Amino acid sequence: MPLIYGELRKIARRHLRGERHGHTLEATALVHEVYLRLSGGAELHWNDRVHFYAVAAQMMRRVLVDHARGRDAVKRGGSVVKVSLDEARDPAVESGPDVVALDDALKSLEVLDPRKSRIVELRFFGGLTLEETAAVLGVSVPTVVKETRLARAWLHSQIAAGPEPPLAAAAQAGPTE
Amino acid sequence: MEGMGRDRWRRVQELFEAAADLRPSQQAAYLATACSGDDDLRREVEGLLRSDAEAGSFIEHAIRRGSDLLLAAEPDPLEALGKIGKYEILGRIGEGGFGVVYKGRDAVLQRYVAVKTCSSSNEKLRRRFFREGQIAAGLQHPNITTVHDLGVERGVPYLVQEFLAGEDLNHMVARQEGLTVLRRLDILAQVARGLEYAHLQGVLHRDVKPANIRILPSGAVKIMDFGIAKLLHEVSDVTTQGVTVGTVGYLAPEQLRGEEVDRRTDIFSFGVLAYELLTYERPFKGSTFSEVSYRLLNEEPAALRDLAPIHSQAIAELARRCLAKDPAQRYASFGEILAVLEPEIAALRSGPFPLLQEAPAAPAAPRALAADKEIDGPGAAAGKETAAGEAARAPAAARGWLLAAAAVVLATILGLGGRALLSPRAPEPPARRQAAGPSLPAPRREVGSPHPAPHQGAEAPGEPSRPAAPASPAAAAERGGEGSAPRPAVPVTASNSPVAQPSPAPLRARHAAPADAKDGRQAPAGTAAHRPVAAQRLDAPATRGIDAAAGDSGPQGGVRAERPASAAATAASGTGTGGGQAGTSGPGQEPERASGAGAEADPSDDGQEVEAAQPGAPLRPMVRGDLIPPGAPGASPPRLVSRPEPVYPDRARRRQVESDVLLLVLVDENGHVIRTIVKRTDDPGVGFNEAARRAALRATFNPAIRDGLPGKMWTELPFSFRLHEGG
Repeated sequence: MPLIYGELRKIARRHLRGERHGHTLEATALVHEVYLRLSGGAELHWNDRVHFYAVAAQMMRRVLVDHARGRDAVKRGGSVVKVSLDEARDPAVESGPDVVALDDALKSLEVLDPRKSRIVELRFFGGLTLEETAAVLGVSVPTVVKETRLARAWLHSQIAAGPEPPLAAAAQAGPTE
Repeated sequence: MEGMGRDRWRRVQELFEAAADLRPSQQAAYLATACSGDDDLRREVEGLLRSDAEAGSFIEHAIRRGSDLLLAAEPDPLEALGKIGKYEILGRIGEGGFGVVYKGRDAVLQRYVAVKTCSSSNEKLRRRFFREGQIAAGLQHPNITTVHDLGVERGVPYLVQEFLAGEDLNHMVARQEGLTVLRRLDILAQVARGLEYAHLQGVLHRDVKPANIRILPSGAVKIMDFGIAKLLHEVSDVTTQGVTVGTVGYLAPEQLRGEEVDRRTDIFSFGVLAYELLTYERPFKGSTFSEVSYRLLNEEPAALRDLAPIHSQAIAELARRCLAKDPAQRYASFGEILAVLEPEIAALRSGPFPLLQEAPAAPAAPRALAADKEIDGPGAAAGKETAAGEAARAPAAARGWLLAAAAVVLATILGLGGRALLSPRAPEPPARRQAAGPSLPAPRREVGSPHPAPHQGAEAPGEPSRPAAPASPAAAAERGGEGSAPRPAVPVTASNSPVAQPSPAPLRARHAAPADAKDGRQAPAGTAAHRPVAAQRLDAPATRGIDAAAGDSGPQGGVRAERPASAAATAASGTGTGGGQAGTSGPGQEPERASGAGAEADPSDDGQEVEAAQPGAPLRPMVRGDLIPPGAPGASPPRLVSRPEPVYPDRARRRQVESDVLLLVLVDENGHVIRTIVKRTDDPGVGFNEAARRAALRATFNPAIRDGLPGKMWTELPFSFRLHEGG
């Protein structure tokens, strides 16, 4: 785990730097690259590959979220563990929910419906295709499609209603209980 | 939500899924009924439906911002200093493999430099950076970025290199810069020389790819990131034995497998780069890493000449061998590669130039026109094939032709505003001289239109009547010709202030005369077509130019229309309908030349020209199935009989994009399209080109006829994709 994590972070940074001006960077690409590195380029069985991606998706989420949280801590002068590298500098201002808010909402979703949370992680952090996601979870593709949609809507409403609404329109009470 | 029970959540899901597919107007009613009085439940589902509508790509965006944050976190203590060593820091140029790259200034030597830092705090990494910097500094070659200095500032190692203007090759490839064959080969040769030298010094690059190749404004090519790439790999390999990181798609199979690499590894990557530069297609494509790597390990790329028939067999073979999966099958050194490249280049550069020789007095060369076509690429194919076919008989002629084509194209490109290449010292001086020489001193800059994009649009206002008959490639060639001549007048201006460039209209006007003259002579049949087609497109985007054309007698009509404008020369040359006149090469050409044989600068015709060349009189009697050069005397071009509607690409429809694609198609003696080349397109990468090509392959023609026999001939085939007007 730690090995993957370190690799992922390293590769993520390099990727981000290198690809800046080129094609859009997708977490997916990072995951693929990590896979390549860790698999030694060996031809993995499709199944193994998919599971590798699943793990990598989780790692990717951690890398991004930990980093973002670390920054937040610095910004607020807080003392949260500084996970990432060299942060220090700050901030690009963001609008819209950030990856931390997303992560929080995902955790809530996980309590409510673990599979949907997992689907989001696999598809968005891991860049798995519908088919791959379906294979990892042992469900059908249409199920993945359906659940993704609901998960997205739920996360969105969750974030909008969250304690620190990043969305302007979010102030109103959400539909949750 | 935490408190939500399973059952309730399941109920919410059911209602959401059922309602989500209803129209918004129906949702409320449905929910009112379905929730039967449970207002909380109804509100909950309604809230989700609202979110469903609003959510958009917020997840992707949030992740993207997270990624950006990670990147932005790259700290750089040095930047704050404003100075690194004796170098004044002017700003960031980019982010390198393991640190930031700054533009700096050496106040003492009064020059700009690029300063690369290694911002990692990993001691080992820093030491390595330093050591690799030393290795890179040991490489002194015109095609390798020069290292000026290596130092440590506050514990951070930095590497000072020459500051390189220009553009990275990947950007040129991405926008499919119109480059002549000669130019492409020249770039490859320069890369090969740099790598050969490095290999002789015992240094591997390991990350050869277009993004690491910088094309300077002078035309010189510099390989960047030497040694550093290696460092990167070694460092990352620390934890993962032997596995290499590189840009997927350029890695050699042995790199993918984590095996030993040697100079043949660079050769493979060079092969990928060469293939891409020569065809503008990646040999191993795929949308995911696994797809690309699978192909790379297991599949043979499409034959180079299938994609870009303009290239010679030798060049195709070169690419093929570089890309051999088994290193043992590849060339053993870049010296061997250069042994293939250099003769090809020399041939293109110095081959006899028959037409020029024949008509020395003429200012411009008809050849040039032809050249235009050749170059561009695939289009060039036509020319090339001809050349190949008749090579035995008239190698010199073929060469000359190619050369001319290359020159013209080059001029065209320059005109177009390919920033990187344009510099006056372009790499192919000889070619240029030949092509443009007679008429103009400096054809290169002339063309003003800096942006390719506009081309499509502003086509000749004046030539409305041309119903787009399948224009013969010759037409294009012609255009090419026209361009250069007029250009001359503009050169300085153009180069100095691209923005101020003459608007298309003026250019056109200027060109007009020459063009016509040419038309008459060179491309009898389809000649005018090219422009007209464009015009038509503009006027009526939805039009199926071709269809219209098909019915039409086509070219002729157009030609006639133009005639009036054209000079007497035209008349003299003979307007023949099928191009009969063109024949008399010697005399006929002169006029044209004068009018301007150079490159087509016309902004509307952009750099992607792929025209056919006009080879001149046939060397032997026509045989059925021969490739008929555009404008060949006594030849009539293929006539479109039917063209299937292209399928509107899904991706394009989703994005609500429209496009025009102009193909060059090779029609065989049976009237079938056997090859297609995208001549011009504004496909943003959503599948228009492919759709057009597919449709083109199903089109049928009456074959081109020469001396009463059907033969192969290139012609143009435009496609318009419109979302609403029947698109």
